[in-house]
Amino acid sequence: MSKGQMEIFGLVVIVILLAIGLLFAIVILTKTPTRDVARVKESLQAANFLNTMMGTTSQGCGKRAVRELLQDCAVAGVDNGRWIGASACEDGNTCELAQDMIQTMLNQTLGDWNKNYRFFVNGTRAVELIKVESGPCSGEREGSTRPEKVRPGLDIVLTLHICR
Amino acid sequence: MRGQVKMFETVGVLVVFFFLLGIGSLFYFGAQRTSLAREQVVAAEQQAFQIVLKALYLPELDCSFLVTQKDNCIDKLKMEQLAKLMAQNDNAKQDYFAQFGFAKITVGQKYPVSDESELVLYSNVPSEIRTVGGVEREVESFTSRLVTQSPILLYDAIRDEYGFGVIEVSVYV
Repeated sequence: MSKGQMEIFGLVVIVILLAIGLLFAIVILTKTPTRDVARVKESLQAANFLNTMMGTTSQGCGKRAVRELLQDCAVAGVDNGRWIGASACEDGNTCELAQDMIQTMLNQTLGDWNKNYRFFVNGTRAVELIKVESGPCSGEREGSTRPEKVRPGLDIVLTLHICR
Repeated sequence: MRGQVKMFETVGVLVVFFFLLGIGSLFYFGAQRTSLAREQVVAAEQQAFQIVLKALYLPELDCSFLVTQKDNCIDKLKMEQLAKLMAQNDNAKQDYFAQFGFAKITVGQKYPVSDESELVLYSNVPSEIRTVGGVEREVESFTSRLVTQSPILLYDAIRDEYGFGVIEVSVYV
């Protein structure tokens, strides 16, 4: 093979490599973020869940909504990991009923849709005991946070994460 | 002899050129097709999401008290009447087609846990007439179904209670 032929062959190889690289770049640059709609959907689902859950009427506690159960629970005390001083309902106290209701609602929705989730409340020691989770939740996640007033100067914050 | 070599070289160059052109267009059209399919899925998902939002805020079903609308809430009595109307009156279904298109909207109660089955609020599944074994039949015809669920409050005006429900919207594309 002559020197000229070798040079042409080298040029062709370079052109092929450049063309392949360019095509990959085009494919990557034109990639549409398909997860965007799913992200918005999950975020809205989490916000709707918290909003809906808070307004749901309980069974067996004088038709109190979950919001009222949590407001009552927030001012209860905690001793050895157990609630003390929370108002009594037909089956346990307000904290226990709130936890049961939230667990049922999460199970019947996100659980049925095969999604991992983590729900927790911050604000007082009593509400911080209310935690519901399913499956691992260490990676990417969408969620919603909702503050709720217990009384002037005392707020609790509810958080729901939908995990992937 | 030299002329033949020159011609052979020219033919070789042309072959390589068209080969590269072919490979390039194969890649390009492949990428375009993938991109188009992806955009179609995204558009369908957005449409499904819009239908969910429309269904969530239907004024026919809202829980309103003293001209104040409660967020994320459906009145069960209104919902049952609308479902009945949709099932019995084709004109009503036709009217809502402009809003929901080819979709199915169902609502189910999750808390308190009830034995009642899910209520179909609207159902319009695309179908076509096909001849199967010499008999003409109406069969469902769609390429994919996008399902979106959202929690919703179900107001029972008789008991004055709010249940926890789920609205499920399936959009057919």
